[in-house]
Amino acid sequence: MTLLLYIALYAAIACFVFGCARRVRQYAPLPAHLRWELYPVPHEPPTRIQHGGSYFEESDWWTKPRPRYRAGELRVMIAEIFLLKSVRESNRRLWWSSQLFHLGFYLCFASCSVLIVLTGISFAAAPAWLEPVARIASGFGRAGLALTMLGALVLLLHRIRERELRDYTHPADYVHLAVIGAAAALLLAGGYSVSAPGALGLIRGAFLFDSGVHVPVLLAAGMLMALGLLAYVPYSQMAHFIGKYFAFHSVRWDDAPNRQDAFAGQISSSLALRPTWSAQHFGAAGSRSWAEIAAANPATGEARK
Amino acid sequence: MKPGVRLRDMMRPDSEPLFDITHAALAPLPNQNEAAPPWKPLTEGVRQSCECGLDNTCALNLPRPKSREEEAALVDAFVRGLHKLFEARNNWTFLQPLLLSMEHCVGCQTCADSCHIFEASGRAEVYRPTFRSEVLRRAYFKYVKSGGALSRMQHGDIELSWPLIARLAELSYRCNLCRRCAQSCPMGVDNGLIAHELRKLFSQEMGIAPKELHENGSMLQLRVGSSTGMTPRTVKDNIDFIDEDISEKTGLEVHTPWDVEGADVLLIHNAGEILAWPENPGAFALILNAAGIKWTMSSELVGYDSINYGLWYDDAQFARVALRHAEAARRLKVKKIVIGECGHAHKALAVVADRLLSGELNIPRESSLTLLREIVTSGRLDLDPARNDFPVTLHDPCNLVRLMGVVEPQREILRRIAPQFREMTPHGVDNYCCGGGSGFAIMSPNNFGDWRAQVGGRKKLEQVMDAFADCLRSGEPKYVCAPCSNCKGQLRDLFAYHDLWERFRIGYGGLAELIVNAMRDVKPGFIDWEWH
Repeated sequence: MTLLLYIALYAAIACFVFGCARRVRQYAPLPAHLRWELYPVPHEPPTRIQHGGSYFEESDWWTKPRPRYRAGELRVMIAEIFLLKSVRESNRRLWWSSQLFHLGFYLCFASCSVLIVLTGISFAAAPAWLEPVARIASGFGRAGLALTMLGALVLLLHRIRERELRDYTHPADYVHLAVIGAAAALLLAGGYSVSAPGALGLIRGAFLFDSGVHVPVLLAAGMLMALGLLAYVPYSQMAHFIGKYFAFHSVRWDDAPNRQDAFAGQISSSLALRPTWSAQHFGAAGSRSWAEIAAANPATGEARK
Repeated sequence: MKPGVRLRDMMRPDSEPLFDITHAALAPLPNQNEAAPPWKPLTEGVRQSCECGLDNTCALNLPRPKSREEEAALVDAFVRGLHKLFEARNNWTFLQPLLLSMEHCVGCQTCADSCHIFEASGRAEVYRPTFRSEVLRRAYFKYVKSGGALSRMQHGDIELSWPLIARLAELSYRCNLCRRCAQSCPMGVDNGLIAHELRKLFSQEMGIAPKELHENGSMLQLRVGSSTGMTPRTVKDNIDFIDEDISEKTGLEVHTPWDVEGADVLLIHNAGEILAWPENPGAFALILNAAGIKWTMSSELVGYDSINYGLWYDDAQFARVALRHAEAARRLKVKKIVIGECGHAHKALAVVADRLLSGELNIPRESSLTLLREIVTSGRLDLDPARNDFPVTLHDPCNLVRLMGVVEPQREILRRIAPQFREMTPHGVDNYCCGGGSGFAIMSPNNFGDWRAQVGGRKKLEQVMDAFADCLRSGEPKYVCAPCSNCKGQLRDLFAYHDLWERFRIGYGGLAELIVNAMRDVKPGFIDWEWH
């Protein structure tokens, strides 16, 4: 049973990593698109970010340096990721539960990360501070599970009770929240079982494939549910963190101007593509490139030739 | 939350409207004691011959198919177009943003309260920003991704039929593409982009687009040079007339230079200004001459009209017009293109076309607002703010502000020349659209004008009245400065519809006019209040 859990653990991590990489590969190599930024763009200088301005506010902007303030991007990203800024500002009613839910995840992730590092240290030495730190990390993990469970429950109630959410919630969304909540509850309850191994012991066992570690049924059930979720996340909307990265960095904040024809190479290969749109005025039919179509004038009959 | 339309209603097989907008349902307006003007019903002829199955207006006049076979062919065409929308060869222009918006919405509805149309309509469900997106999203997962049972669980199900597609076509023209909803989305999902892409599908695959944008818009512009119908010769005649008129009115000699090779600035106006608000190009000519700028206009086909309606519905039409703008500048060997007071022209030529223009066509492009700011702050004009001592507020055109980041130059000018300048709430990048965005300002088929004035522009109307709340009934004239031709078109119709001049003495105009009105060496009274 314990060995099966270890296998499930590694399989789930592999599925998660593979699925996320696949998503990234789906978006990253797409052709450079036309500009579609949205202001404020946070890497503008602080003097402009206050009012959401851009380099277009300067006369002869193309002759001036264009400093990019990465700190501005970082500030917005931190506020977005950890405080759900957009939801807080525009949808306060849903923010509380959403914040609990995500904070719970972050605490669980941080706790697991610390425990893995501590396990690694324990292989080399056993300093006196290791156990107390592990207990604190486990405590944060438990708090994370509790918050996740509570957040999932409240979000589920929102989606069931409010029509404006219910109408746009799909069956899988209910299942996701219910399974997340149940997995968190089982992990929490299982972790408190008298016979439950300590977090360090469990992680150590997973590293060494130690079948001697006893995992109580409740905890095993919680782990299997959580691992199933982990494997499934990249194949569902729960992987929105990947989409969000690209949506913000590659679209909303992508204000790079075509100075010195910086985009000429990428765009010229796209202009060589041969579209197949059927409308007569478009004048495509699969035989003309985008460049030829743009140069043609349908109003004088050129597009139809 | 009002009971009513649900997403599945889009699949209803009949062609009856899903709902009727009623006055009672609309969001209340301040100082609206009088009954709102009656909403003109659609004529029986239109209802019989056109697809009007969404609400009680009709923007497209989409003819009803005459047979089952014709219906089936239209559904096939839509499905074909749907596939093309997600192919790099057909839609490299916006594929990445579109995919990101398709695949990551979590249905939190955070965007809903950002939408002026949804709010003004009294939260009519079909106008919810996610409503049309959800229809396209379900179709994408089912027809493009060929999703099975798991996909239906994850993304929902939909059955494409002609009544649904016809409703969706109309629904793609109930969004101003202002992208205020995108600004609030925690995932970066852009419902405005989704409406834009739907419009492209209909235009580029099925040849469906509003007559005002396509036949009388981009096609006319490519044929004669301007969507106003002005040929190079007539535009020069009209500008000559404006020069004369402005010279007489201001007491200063005004002359617009044409086709000056090697000029520092090629100024391209929205040609609608020349016909509807001639004082704006006149004011520009006067200011640029007074500031000693070496500038010119182009009489090249398309080169004298910055309009680019393709921005809103068709990538090919967009690229064709943008290339011709750049080509006009290249031929004249100008140092930069300055775009007149037109929001969508700014976004089209300076932002969206940026990466399309390379080599000799990559001529620097700049907003007229930054140039005007430079002129005003440099002291090259002798200005007397006391001449503008009346309440002034500023409308932020979405394309210029939220979508391009030109926020402060117009404010710096107004703070110098308008002592009673006050902001709307909210303003800047958080502004509300005037309701004329994405082509609506020039669209008034059937009773669409009623929709624009009562729903699309309702939030702006509220903002304008709130901005002047302290002096609303004072009897003094009040000025809404709208540095955008399309916004002015919408404000003209909106203010006339709600009788704002008669009731509150609220008028509107551009920024250049206010500058000229403040010039000491110009005869007083450049702004003609009664005319509007």
